[in-house]
Amino acid sequence: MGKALRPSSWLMLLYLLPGLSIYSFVVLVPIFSAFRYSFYSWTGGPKRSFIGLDNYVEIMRDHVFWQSFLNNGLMTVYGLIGQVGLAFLFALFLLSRAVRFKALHRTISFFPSTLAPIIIAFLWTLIYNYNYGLLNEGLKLLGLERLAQSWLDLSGPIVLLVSIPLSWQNIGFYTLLMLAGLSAINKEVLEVAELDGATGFRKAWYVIIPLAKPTLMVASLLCIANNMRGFEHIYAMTGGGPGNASSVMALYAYDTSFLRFRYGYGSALAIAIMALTLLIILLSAFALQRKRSTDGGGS
Amino acid sequence: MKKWQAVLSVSVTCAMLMNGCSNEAETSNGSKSADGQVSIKLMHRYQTSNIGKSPEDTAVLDGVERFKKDHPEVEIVEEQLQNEDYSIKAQALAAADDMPDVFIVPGSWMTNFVANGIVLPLNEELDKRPEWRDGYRPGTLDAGTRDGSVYGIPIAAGPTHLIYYNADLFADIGYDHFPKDWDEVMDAGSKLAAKGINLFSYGDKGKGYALSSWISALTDRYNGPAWTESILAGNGAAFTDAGFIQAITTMSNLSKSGYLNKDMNSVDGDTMVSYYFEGRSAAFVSGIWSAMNVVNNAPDNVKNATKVAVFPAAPGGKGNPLASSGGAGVYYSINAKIKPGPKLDAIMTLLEYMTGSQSAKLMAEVGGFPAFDPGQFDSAKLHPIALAAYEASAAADATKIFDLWFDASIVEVINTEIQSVMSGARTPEQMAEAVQQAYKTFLSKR
Repeated sequence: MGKALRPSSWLMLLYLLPGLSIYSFVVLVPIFSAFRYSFYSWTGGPKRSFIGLDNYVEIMRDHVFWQSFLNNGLMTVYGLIGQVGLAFLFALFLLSRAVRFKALHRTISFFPSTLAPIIIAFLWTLIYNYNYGLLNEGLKLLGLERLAQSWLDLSGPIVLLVSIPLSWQNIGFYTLLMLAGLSAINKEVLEVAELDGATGFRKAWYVIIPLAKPTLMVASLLCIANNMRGFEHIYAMTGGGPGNASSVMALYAYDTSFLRFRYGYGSALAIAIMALTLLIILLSAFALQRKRSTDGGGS
Repeated sequence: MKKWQAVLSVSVTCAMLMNGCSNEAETSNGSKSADGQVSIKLMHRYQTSNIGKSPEDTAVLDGVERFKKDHPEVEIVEEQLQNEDYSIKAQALAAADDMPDVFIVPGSWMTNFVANGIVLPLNEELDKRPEWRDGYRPGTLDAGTRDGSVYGIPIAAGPTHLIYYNADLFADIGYDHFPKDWDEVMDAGSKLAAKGINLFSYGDKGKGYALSSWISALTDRYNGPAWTESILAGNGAAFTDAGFIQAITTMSNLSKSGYLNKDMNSVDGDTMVSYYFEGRSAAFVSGIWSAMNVVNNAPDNVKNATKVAVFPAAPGGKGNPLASSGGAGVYYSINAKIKPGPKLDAIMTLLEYMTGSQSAKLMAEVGGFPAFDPGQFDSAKLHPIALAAYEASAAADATKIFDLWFDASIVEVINTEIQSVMSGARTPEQMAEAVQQAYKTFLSKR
């Protein structure tokens, strides 16, 4: 911006003030107070006692928390495949000439993203239902009745089962993101690639993916962040059950604070979740960026 | 220069915003309104929309109305919330030390609220009203009492464990009564399974049903009440003792044999009851609160066939085979900031209206089981199922409801582990180990 057009710093600050004050009130203040509470033993009343780092020491030994962390990790992996990966394929299909009614596909695939997570969870609880569920009915129609299960009662694949609704919900959003990224690719490059004989899979792999890397990266980071703080679906579908099989970090922190009245430890968990999520995002951003720069050097 | 100005102005704004909030909180805490009239802020989870459907809501809210009529000089600011909403709001207010004058406290919160000085000891006030104080059924004040001080006035009582069974379905497999021992239970289970019917429907999605309606009563069948007392006192009993493991094994066997619905951990209590209504199961285990649900909502053929029983005696068990886990679970408590005086008097009178003799009679007449003994009441209008549940409740020796008495940290572990056991992912022994571990941690902190 030209210096002449630039408002004075005071004015800028004034413009920013409403947003900034709301932001600090609803985001920064709670985070700082959670950080403070994390050093206390606090059961939710006026009485608190300072216990230093004890809460954090307990987190290190808390196997339920680490199991929840692993579940978050697993959900992230499923998310990267089922949300970002599939969305990329969808976007490629939607861009190809073979597909008709593109606007319709776009709208319908985006539709689940507009629903509240609780509604999605309720829908999928019904789909998975043992007696009336769509899934079991479908299996019956296919003559695979012996495969019918009470799906949400299976401890083994439960994380996968609760990840599927998440993918179903978010795939449309990522597809839109990919479409935006892909349509920014210079058409001439694609045409030249086609003239050179790169079609289908080869075009996608050697031309589109490298060019769409920034979009893929943003989508992946968003997906990681979303899955690390996953809560609503699990809360409504399984409550973390059976046992702790589908527990995630945010749900565990919630239970700790509001069912066990351990607000101090719950705050420490919240801080730990934030730290772990930041760490993972930084690590993956670093890894993705490095890959991009080595790719760039190679070409 | 500019930077610190920016920081300063932002922080000043924040401070102003927060200040605004805390001011608001303080003014709402005033105890008397301007003209000296007594005003009581009441927050509870009984709702006008439930009158006629739920005995507790009917009786308590009737008490509020009667009080308003008899004491027009007292203003009542009432807030009715749903169960879930109530828990969230009450906990937030407690954390902010901003509770209303009178509020509901589930027994399982009581230790925490007493430790934090949120609730007022009521012994002195109750001693001024001996007739009311002594009218409560034995044991119903216990879960609201800590170290001899009474912190809560109970509302309803009654067992958390009763078996509602469809006598027709049992007659079809040759039982003219509910199975008298566990061999008969398993035999009935297999005969029903052959017809494609589950012996019990079971719904523990909410994590808590198993402990409240099954484990509390079943453990008592094996171990007797002395074990529970020993656990509570911390003098010797352990969750790894044979009786507790046997109780869990009994449940696990029902699940393993396929006598429960497959989706037992992913459906809630409502679905569990509807499976019974649909004839998918021959019985379900639940508290007295389900009696009116059966009366109001079951199809006629199921309603007419429904009878009430309790778990049979355990082989070699030390408990009374007629006992059921019971007692009051939910209390009215008073804000610790209230000082003796006209306001406290008015609150105590209000509580007597809401939970005392007249309210208790009404609650019993519409199918509830009040904590205050109503004595004789007009049972003519009661449906036989409700009457049977009432009589079973009155006859049952009330044993402790574990989720009200055990520390929340232990309750959580039991609630979580039982799901794993019922789904077959863990064994009863592993569960016992895990619970014992949590119990040891709890004892070491005490």
